[in-house]
Amino acid sequence: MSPILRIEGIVKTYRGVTALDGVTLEVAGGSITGLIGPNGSGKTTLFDCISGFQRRDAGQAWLSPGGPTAVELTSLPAVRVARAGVRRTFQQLKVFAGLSVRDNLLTAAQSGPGYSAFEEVLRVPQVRRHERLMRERAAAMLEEFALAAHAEQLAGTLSYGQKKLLELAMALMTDPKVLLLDEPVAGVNPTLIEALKQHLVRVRDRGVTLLIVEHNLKLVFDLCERIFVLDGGRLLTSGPPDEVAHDPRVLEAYLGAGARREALLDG
Amino acid sequence: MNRAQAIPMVALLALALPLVAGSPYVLHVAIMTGFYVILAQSLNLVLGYGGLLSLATPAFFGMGAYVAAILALRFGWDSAATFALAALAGVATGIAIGFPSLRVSRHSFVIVTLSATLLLQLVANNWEDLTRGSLGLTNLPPPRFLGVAVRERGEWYVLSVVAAAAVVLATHLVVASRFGRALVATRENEQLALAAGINVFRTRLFAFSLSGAFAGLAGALYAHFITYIDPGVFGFSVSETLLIMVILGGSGTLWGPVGGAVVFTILPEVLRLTPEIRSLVYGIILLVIVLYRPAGLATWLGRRRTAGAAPPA
Amino acid sequence: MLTDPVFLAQLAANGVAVGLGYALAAIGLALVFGILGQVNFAHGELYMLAAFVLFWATAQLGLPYAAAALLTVALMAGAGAVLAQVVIVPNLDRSFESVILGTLAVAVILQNAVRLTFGATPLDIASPLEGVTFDVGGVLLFGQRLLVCAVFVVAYAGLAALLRFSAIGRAMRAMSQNRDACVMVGIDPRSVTRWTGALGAALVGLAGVAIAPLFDLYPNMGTEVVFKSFAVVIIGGMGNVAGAALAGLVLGLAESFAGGLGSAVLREGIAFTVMIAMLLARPQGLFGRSVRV
Repeated sequence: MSPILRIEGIVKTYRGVTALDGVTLEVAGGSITGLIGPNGSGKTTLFDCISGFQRRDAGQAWLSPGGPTAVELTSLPAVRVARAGVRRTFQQLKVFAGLSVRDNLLTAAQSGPGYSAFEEVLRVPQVRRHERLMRERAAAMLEEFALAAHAEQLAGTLSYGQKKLLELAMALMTDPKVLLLDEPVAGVNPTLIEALKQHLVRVRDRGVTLLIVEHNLKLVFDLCERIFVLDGGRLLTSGPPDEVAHDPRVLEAYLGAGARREALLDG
Repeated sequence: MNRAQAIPMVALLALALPLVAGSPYVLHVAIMTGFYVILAQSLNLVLGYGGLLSLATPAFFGMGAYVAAILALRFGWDSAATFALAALAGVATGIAIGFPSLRVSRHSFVIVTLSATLLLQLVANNWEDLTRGSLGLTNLPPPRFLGVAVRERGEWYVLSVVAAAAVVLATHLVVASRFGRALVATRENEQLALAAGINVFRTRLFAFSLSGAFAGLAGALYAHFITYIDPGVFGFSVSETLLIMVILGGSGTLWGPVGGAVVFTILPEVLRLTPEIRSLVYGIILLVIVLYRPAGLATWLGRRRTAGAAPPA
Repeated sequence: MLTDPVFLAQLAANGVAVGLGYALAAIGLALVFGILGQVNFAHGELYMLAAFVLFWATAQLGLPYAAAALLTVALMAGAGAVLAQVVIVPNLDRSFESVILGTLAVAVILQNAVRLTFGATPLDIASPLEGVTFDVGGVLLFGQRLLVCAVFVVAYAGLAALLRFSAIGRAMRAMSQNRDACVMVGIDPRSVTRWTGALGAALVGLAGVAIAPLFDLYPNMGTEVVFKSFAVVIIGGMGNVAGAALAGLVLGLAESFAGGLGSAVLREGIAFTVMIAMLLARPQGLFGRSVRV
């Protein structure tokens, strides 16, 4: 399959400490791809550089590389990256706590066509039409993610697991091309992990490419078609799950970082 | 008659009261209340809905006042034009202050909004050819809108109520729109808003300049009503009063700041406080809020349900 | 005339004197931000308070200038500790807006309390160095201005020594790095907060004491000081004491030349313009973050 995201030689240093040291990788379109590595290996920094939350020192990240719609992401601000069709979630769960669940979904969708503040305040017909479409979309999302009963509740009052679901639903409101998920199941109970897993597969089947950073390696090995392993800001290895799982260098990287062997094998 | 009908009825009766029963003094206070409603809504838009602790409201207010006063005194233009230009001056000031301040850290934002306001005060004090410095501009004529002059207190009261109602309505339209939802989203979580593709800077800048329009309009009204302005219109005491009105009234709600403006315009008059005592008391109230009402602050920082966008009708 | 070397030298001398005054007034603010990460919006009013306390001590208690100055600085240190205890300590774990609002409230309270106590008529304090001037090749140096410069040098050296060599100075530097880590090694953040408040207020008190005899005293005299101090602190790099000192000096020089060769409006606008330019060019300021002296 042709790549939807090509990351070329991304370098990022903070005050002399190298967080990313020339990372190059390709994510196949329509895949679920994993990005793993011990703490501090640069996974979240890589997400930040791709999604415009941090400026890389060198390197590029191409969306739909080589195609007529190719976009270089690392030179864009976060807003433009999102509008180009690359959405992300955060390691530290974020929702708009003071907005209702439904409004969270609508807010996540309203940037798409990029209407001006005047058009939005004056509620021009295009804005109304788009808003109506997005309301239908939000209603469908609420059903799909079992949040319909909580639609008018403030998002801040949801349980942690429900917030995780909401976060995912928000990222999907605009049909992104690529979804960068930073620890989608961290802190979630086993039952919900199963549910989230099924959601992720469904999302992939809809044509959204998923790049997942996750410490629950069992989930990564189960879900991902291809896995990239980062260590110390460099790409250590990559390959299909069974290959990576048996790569001694991966074990060593994790054990070296103080992780238990079971963490690697059992998640 | 249910509650939804009763409230507007009572409100209308209350609004008519100063006209029927009012002494000139009561009318004076009632007129000032309208101006404060506008100013409180101006701050509420930025502080309550946008979550930004802005100290620039007096800058907008003062610019509106000076623009209206200078145009009326020097050129004798019709007030329809000068009031519109006063509001535009507020917008321009909002953009000029917002452009640098909304790009920097939140600490720096507060500092820049305060410094810009102090700078305008310095300019008003020193640009004597234009502003007559600390002597101020005196003898402003009554405003004439397309030839119709507003002279009597009763007429002023109607003008004040209409202007305040228009601003509250405009605020409602803004915060209940998709834009309002985005503004609250930027307050709730800036990073998530960015990740959702919301242009946080532009959203805030728009709110800031709209806030400037409201306060600029209030400045024009105030200047013509009092018929005298000096660089004190840029003073921090304006911000202080508005912070009390908005925070105690309920920031990030439509009617809370209106209530706050009504209460805290009338109360000092009833208690016959001198400006110094009033300012002192407001300072103590503000300190007490910060120290003992963290819940009140939390409200202001946006833990309450606010702008749910209305369905597109 | 504009290129007259004596005139230019006079502008430079004035600039240095005014600039070191700015630096002296601003280092307390920079210190508080550097160590506590909090902006003290009552900073200008502390300056004003120091000037009025000095007036009270000289004019009403009849103390000589030096004794009154010492008393004032001691009282200011106490006031700073109280301010830190009342406003900053309870808000250490809350949003920084709480501290801003709290210190703004204190500023308003101080201003109006002083106005009610002393009235709004400008007062003045006689300079102990009244009429002492030095003529250096045509350039006039005024005694009280030179005193301001001397006080700055002593205050700055004292502050640097305190931060570097004393236990409390070490604790302050530790707190500027990482408050949570401080708790773990047994440093009480509340105590450091009070000490920092006291030190910051003592420094701005010194500024008030040294500079007040040059100008009239009025209750909102703090406004201009806080305006200039903010600019100096931002230009110097928020929380950077050395940067603030240098920025103060440079600002004084720039203003002196702008006023001498340009106009008064130009002079007043410089601080703000440079501050904005600095913020847009480098949001961290010239010298980056964290306390450095």
